Amino acid sequence: MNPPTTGNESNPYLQMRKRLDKAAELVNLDRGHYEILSEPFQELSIAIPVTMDDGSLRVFTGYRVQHSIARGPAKGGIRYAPDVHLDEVRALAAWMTWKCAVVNVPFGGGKGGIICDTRRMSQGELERLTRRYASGLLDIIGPERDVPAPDMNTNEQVMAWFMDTYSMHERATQTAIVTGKPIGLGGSKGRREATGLGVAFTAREALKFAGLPATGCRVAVQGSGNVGGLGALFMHEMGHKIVAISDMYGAIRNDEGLDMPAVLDHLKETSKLSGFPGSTDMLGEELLTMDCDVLIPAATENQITSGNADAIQAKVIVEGANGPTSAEADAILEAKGVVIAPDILANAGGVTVSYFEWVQNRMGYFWEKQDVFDRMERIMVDAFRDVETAAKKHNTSLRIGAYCVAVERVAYCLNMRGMYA
Amino acid sequence: MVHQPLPSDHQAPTPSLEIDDPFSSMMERFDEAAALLGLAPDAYMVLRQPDREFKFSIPVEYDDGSVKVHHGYRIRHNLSLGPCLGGFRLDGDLRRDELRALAGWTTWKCAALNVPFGGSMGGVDFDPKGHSEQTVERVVRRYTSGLLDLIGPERDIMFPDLHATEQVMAWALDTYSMHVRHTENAVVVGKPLGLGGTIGRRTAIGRCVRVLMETRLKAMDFPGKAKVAVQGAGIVGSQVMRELEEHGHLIVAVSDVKGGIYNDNGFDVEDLLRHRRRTGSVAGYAEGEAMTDEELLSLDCDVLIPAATARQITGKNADQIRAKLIVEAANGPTTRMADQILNDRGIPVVPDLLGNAGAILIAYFEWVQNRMGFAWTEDVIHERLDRMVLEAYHKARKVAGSHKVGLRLATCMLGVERVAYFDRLRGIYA
Repeated sequence: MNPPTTGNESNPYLQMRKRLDKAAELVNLDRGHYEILSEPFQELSIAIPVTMDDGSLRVFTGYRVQHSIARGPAKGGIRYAPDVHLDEVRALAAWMTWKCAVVNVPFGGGKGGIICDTRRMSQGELERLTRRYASGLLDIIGPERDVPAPDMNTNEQVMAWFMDTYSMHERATQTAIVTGKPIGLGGSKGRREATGLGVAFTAREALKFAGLPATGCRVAVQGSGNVGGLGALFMHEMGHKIVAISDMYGAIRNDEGLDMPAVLDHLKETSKLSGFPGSTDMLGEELLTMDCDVLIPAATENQITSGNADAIQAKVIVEGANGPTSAEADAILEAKGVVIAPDILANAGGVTVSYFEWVQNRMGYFWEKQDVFDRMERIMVDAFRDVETAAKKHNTSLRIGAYCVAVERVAYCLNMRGMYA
Repeated sequence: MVHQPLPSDHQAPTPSLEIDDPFSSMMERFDEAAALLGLAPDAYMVLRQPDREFKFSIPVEYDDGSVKVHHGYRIRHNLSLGPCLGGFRLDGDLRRDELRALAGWTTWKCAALNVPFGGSMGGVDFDPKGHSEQTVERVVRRYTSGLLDLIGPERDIMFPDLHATEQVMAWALDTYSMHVRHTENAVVVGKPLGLGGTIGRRTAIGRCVRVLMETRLKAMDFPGKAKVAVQGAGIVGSQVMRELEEHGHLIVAVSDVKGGIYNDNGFDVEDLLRHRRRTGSVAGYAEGEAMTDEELLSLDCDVLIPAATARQITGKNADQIRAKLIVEAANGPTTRMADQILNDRGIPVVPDLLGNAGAILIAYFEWVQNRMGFAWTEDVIHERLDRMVLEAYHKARKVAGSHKVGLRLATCMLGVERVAYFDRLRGIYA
């Protein structure tokens, strides 16, 4: 998928800074605090030598960026991708700071990545890569310092290797060093559903905010993974009509509403959406601008830009992905009166349950799935209220409102903690 | 093998400032050494990029209450021989690539000298000029505390580089010690005497230069005392001059950025340096004739000692050099092309890797003394300095002979071979 981009709309770090600048102005952020928050607290680049299966040696490059630790240990995923870039990692780390602050979990923000192509690596190579990366980070991570999680191309298995490497060096099992672990190895129940369910809860609140009915809305979802697919499923269960959903190959639509449980079964069996009985195929790009009430971009960054924002017909956008909308598109949509539930609020269900996983690891006692969902719902609803209140107070959008909430919370901690050598 | 630079940490909108690339040019020398050694490709890959680069924010409260965020770096190139040793600089124009290059050079230098350290380098993009001492102290303390997890007597030891005075090193020592809650003086070197500093810190470079010079001259059947021209009269240049004068050599020409001076009968070095302290330059000193920097470099003398900055002897002036021997006290004073010309003309060069070895050796000795908690006498330090620098020199001469290469490349090979060997023995572990 090649999103239409222009100039620095595709630089996530600059996009993050634009929002921060706006919020900083509205909340009257202290100049020094602004300087501190506009750059990462610390960043590490490491060489990762790996013996490949053929006996040769390759040296990969890995990063870990901690944007802020003012509110607690840094928290954020690790991605494995050929196009991992330090500036992108920096932006994602900052987003984690804001996200954790919006939902008020006691974490700062971090992010990591390795430049590699997982499709061309064996499991053994991936394991050695992960273990060496984990050991390279030993000096800066820890359950009370920086807690990684899965992101693009990393999964439960990678987290298990990561946890094992850290634990072997510590000479004690330390499950709280990463989240997103398999259940039975310190993973939390409900983590798989967490982001999708959080998106659905946020959508429910956003519809209320926009004055739309609580059931029967027409919903288009970009992406059909853990966020998009399950988000669509939960929206379907809430009584909305999923009129279109997409995957990496294209989209399917049915104006009468797709039977989501059956769609997901079909996806599981055939590995693609196309061909689902009763649906018609559509180009992926068309989904974004189709006639619907709610649009849920739940795929990748930078999908809604100044190039297509004008054509968007949805009344409410709930951002399941990180950074799907550019700052330039924000302005266009805002002028059209579109309500956007921003990423740092809408997809925070994931980090909220990550937080629960960390809590359960620390106490060594595990919650039932319903407990996890109930606690998460309360946090998401509270966060929405806080964002709504801030947006009203500053007469701004939900997005900038969310940044205002986050920046004020982080700045409060910076101020109380003060500066020490 | 194709050089693959580390992915840049700049996104497209930030214009690249890298006109020349010190890390690449350091790696070029390394490539040459690796090729001659027939180094295994595996060992080669690991040494091609720094092991770890750390960057962090240093928020500093200025005296007027405002906050400015500076950036601290610590780059670790290789640690297969032991803890890293690396400089610490305060530099408003700090360049990450230069830090990388210096970290790499320190690895080779330590290995060539058989000092059990790897190489690193770090600094803050902060120029202490125009700031109060309190502000500088806050910068240094915050930098040190940001590195707490990375430095330590067994991990990474800092030695003074640009603007890092004894006071700066003492602050670094104190900050680290307060955090670990006991005095740990082996974490930094270049400390004041009485706070774990060592005797001989201000004379070690000069001494090694003299010892190498005398040894090389002896091999050339040069009798007795030499007439020496020294480019640079700063920290390095002045200790070289003092050392040489003390041992009966004649300093016949000296220059600094503002000009030079010449006296065929040799200077009274203390008097000349007093003049420099008073006026800011050696130029205008009464006991000699004025001389330009170019004239000094092409002076008919026995030994030329570049002790100022990099790239002084170049393809343009190398064929005018009339000295019988060059001993490099500065870092990188001779360009590659000049090296070639001097080699063709049969003028021997004692390269910087050996010429300023005194700085590394005395840093190592300070660390050793701190660890045992017992200070050596001046005699012991002199004896060990001489032995270690000459051992490296003779080994390098042997490599030069057997591979038919210059002493510079031979010294580089000595270092590279040792690092690669121990890297392979240790293997790769998570």
